[in-house]
Amino acid sequence: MAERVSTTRYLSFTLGDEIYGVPVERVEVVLEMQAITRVPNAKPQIRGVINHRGSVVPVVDPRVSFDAGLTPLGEESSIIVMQLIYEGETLTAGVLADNVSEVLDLADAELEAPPLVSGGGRDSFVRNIARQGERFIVLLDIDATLLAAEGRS
Amino acid sequence: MIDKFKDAFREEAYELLSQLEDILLELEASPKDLELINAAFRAIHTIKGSAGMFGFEKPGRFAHDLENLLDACRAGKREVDKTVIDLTLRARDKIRAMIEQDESEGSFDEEAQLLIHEFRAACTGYCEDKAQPQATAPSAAAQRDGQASPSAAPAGAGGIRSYRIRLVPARDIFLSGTRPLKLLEELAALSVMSAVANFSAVPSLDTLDPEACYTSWDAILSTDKGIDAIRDVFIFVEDQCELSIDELGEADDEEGHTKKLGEILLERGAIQKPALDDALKSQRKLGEVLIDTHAVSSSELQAALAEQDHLKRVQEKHVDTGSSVRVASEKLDQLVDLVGEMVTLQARLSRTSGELADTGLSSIAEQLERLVSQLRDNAMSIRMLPIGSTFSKFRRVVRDLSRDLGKQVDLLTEGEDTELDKTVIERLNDPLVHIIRNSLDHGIEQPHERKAKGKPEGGTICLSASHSGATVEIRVSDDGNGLNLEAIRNKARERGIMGPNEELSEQDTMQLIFRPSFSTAQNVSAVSGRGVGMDVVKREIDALGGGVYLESKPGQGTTVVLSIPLTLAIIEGLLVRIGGERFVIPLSCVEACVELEEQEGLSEDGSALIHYRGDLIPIVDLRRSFAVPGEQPALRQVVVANDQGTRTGYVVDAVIGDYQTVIKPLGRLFKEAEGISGATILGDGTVALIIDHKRVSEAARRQKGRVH
Amino acid sequence: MTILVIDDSAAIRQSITYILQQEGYTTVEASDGLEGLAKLDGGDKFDCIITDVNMPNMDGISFIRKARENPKFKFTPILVLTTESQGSKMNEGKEAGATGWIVKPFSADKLLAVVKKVAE
Repeated sequence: MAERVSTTRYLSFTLGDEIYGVPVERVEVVLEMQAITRVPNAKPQIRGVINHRGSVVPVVDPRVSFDAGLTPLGEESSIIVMQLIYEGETLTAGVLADNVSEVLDLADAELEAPPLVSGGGRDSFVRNIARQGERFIVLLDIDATLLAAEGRS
Repeated sequence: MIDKFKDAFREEAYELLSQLEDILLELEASPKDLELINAAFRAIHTIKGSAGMFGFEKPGRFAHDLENLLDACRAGKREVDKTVIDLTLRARDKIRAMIEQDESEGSFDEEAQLLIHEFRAACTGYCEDKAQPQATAPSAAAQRDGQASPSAAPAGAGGIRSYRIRLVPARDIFLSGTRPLKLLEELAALSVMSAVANFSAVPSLDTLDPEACYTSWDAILSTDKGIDAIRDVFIFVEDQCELSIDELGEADDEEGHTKKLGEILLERGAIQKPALDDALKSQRKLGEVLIDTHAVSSSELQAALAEQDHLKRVQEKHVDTGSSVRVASEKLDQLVDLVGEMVTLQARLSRTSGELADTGLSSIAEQLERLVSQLRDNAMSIRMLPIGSTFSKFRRVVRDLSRDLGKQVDLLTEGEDTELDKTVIERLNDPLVHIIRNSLDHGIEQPHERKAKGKPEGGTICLSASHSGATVEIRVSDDGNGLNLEAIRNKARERGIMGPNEELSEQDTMQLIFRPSFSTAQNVSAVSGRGVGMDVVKREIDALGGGVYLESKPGQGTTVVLSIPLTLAIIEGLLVRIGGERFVIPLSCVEACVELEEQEGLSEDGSALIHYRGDLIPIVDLRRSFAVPGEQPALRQVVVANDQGTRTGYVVDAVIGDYQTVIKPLGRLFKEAEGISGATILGDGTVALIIDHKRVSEAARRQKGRVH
Repeated sequence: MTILVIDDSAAIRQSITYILQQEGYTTVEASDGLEGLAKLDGGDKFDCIITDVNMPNMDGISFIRKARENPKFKFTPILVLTTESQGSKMNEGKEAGATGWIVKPFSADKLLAVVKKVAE
């Protein structure tokens, strides 16, 4: 029966060789790359701010949170504008991605727990892994990307 | 009038009276000496004239009849004989007695009445009594009474009436020190006025007398003050002007009908009916026809048009009076947000049209710019509220708290009408409560302490608001004990905030009480006299973009000064560039932009001092504080900012120009972004950051303090 | 704003001065017309002059005539202090070149209103 199979829709995007997913319900819009204004003295993973429909919206670079350097900004790069939860309240922020691929329906049952071999870096942001044929999709705890640097610094 | 001058008057009167006595005795010997008679008259006249001013109405009134008698003598109408001298001497004694016994008002005693009777008798046949000045004096009041028009509505009847006023000043009116424009200003102050100046009498330059007045005026005035108030304006010039004041029909025509131009011209007598009818037959605009056919002079037409326009305005205003609409505040917020968007978009349009160099587009952009700026001012003004509504809440706070503390404290308020943005007012509430509680709790002493210090037992807290440029200054003053600076310094040393040998200026010391570490300790208040929660106040006011300052005099009280921007939503900013990045500095704090001279090299940490107008001011290299990447150009500029008299220079690459800045909050995520208070969207759609001037300059000063 | 106050009564002079100074005006005093003229020649600039009529040495009306002859004070507002009974003096004053008058006794408000009306 259809109702037995609970699925969630994810927006998938790439950062380097990896495919990541965030719940579609959190996503407002995907923007093309545009000028990001750097904010001095801000958290390192905040690359800056952009003008989104007249509001000033922060842009998060997950690579910085993962301790994997800066995301290079190119033509293919995108900004996923979505709702993040920070200090218990939602805020609108952009998340940098190398490339936004597609929307995937993943059955909750298909999700696997993250590997236990957690060695800091990206692994602490992984909530689940989904396997689709040959490829793995890393479902992120995207809210944590905002906090990471605080714990570390 | 003023009691403090009563004694001065008394002394002067005694002196005059004793002079009068000498004069009278001399007069007895040479009764024809005109100088002496004049001197006697003057003495009595002066006493009479000033007595009333200092509360001696009765001797003044008494001197009046005596003055008449002496005036007759002075004018040669009556000889100075024994009767006159006798009477005057007796009257002199009587006046002195009245002044001595402080008989300021009331009825005359028998002796005085007898004297008055004798003056009059001595006068009979020689002099007319000037006691009824209305009969002869050309005073405006008298003329007014004679002419009082029955239609003049008494003031307060609520009726607004319109008057047509024509003022043709005499050519030489300037020579009496009269300024006709002042008269018009005074008229305008009565209510709504439209005036048209008529220059048709101004001659060509070669025959023009620069000291003559050639201009005349036609004005329409709508007021509820009545025709007397209008006449009063012209009280000094009635005889130097051709002046006519005519009342028009009811200004509030319920039908909303406004008079046609033709009707007005007819009423003004500028045109006759047949000529008007002729002109009306033509299909063109009446005004044009009348000018073309010379039926009406252009100044007459101007005046009539002004009248028509004025009546229309008054009518509209009348309909609007008192009607207001309640609007949910979110709707206002939305409106301001939308206007903000529009300002941004309009800036973008102006930029684009400039780039395209299309004249048609540029002119549209310019018009839109004007419109948007009007719309912006309008939207902002809707959000402005008088601060008085908050003030009244504090009465309760003061009342309750002073009762709890066993103190007697009065709250005085001033400047309740001062308007501030609604949001700002709301956010001011908590800090003000804090400050007032502090003043009550720690500032104002117990009644017995106050008494011991020779102060009134009841203390006073004064809450005042006033405009000061683009900011509003709110002051909370108490007449309490003032801040104990030494105790604050000791506490600071104890807590390691100040080095054991470090010295701080008074203001810097006072600023310490805004430090969080200072405020949290409960016992500080007992030592410093203040301190609970002042860090909260500072934080709130900083968040509003304002500043907190202290003034304190030992034993006399403390004043907390809050300087608050008028609005949170839009400010005037100065757009600057550093590398590829752009920042906005609030224009309200910018004093000047100067070039950074090469020899004024910055030290290692980017701080330095430069000379500016005889002042040595710290400069902050923003490229360095904000870690802007890229090559530093050879030539750079310094924006000199002034914060309550303290100057700081900001080194930037270039100053781009003024910028209407719609402030967008950065949000919680940027708490640690020190030196940045918000963001704004530029004409090209990108975001620029607004520099938190107060923080940066404070940081610079702290740094400077360390260097020294 | 500087105002010249001419009156032979020190009490009146002082009270006028007091009222004006309370409002922020600067005042210069003279006790008769002659002294008043001397003040005009003294190089001071006056924005308004208030003078009494009946004074020893030189009366107010003569003072105004003389003052108007001085090009510096040709257009300066001059107010005459009169009493109710001196209606004719108002006329004389106006003819001599006075700008307006203040009727004694007057209140502080009245004085200030008239000064504001002609000067400033």
